[in-house]
Amino acid sequence: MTEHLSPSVLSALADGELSNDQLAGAQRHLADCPTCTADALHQSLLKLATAKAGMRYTPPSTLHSRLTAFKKPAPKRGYWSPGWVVAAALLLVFTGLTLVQQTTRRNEVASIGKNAQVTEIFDQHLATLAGNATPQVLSSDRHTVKPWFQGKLPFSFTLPENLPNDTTLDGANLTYLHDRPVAQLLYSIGKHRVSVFVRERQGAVKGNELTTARSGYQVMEFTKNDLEVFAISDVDGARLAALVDLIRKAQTR
Amino acid sequence: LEVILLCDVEEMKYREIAAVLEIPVGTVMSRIARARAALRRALEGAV
Repeated sequence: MTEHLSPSVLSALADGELSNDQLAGAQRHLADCPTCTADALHQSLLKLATAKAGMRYTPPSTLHSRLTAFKKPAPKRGYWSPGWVVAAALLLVFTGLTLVQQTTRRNEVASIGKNAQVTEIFDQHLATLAGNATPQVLSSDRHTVKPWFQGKLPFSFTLPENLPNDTTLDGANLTYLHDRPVAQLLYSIGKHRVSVFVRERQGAVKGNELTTARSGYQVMEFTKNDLEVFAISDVDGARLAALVDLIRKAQTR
Repeated sequence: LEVILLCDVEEMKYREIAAVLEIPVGTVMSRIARARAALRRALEGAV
């Protein structure tokens, strides 16, 4: 970005006194600089306020006599005076820049939230692997695992009946993500451990299935009905995707 | 503040103001910028 516009240039912009080249340069700068755009808008609004207040003002006699001697044509009081036009244009630019900034900020916040979520899932899975503790419900029978969550979670989900080859259900834990209770389903694909976190969806429906890679692990997520599901493992992506797909199809409600 | 009066109230161009006040156009520009800055500070202080 070029250097900020000087006060003289900002004033001349509000007064419509810039040459074509100066105006083009100022507009290029304003397109990228919310600070100068806001300053220019203030200048234009100040000019309009001064003009309005000046209607009730009688100039000093010395100035009046100099003005009379100059014989300037009567001022134009048209609705579309340069001040209004510049102010309107600057307001549009300023509003546009503000919207762009807000969108960028929202995206940044969403990105930070997303990273924090993946980090928490990653940490939970690694803690499960490192602790090597017995699952809170130790069973490979989905008809045992699912009912175990009754009364523990404010939602319900369905486990797939048939699993791919080499994939087994090892059990499940009740745990928390972002202070919300979730079901952590534990699977094995070959010798690779998989954690599938199921929680109640919050906010708008996210249509896309997303995959995030981190430190050799893959996190796959989807939303369906009122559920958000995150699966994490270091197994081959296609095999993890096959399990995730079965879990997604099992949520028929 | 007479430059502001001539510019904003009388809607004169910078070269016209320069002719009335018998000063260069560049001086008109800098005086208007300084006057607006002073006006803005005064209004902010009044709020």
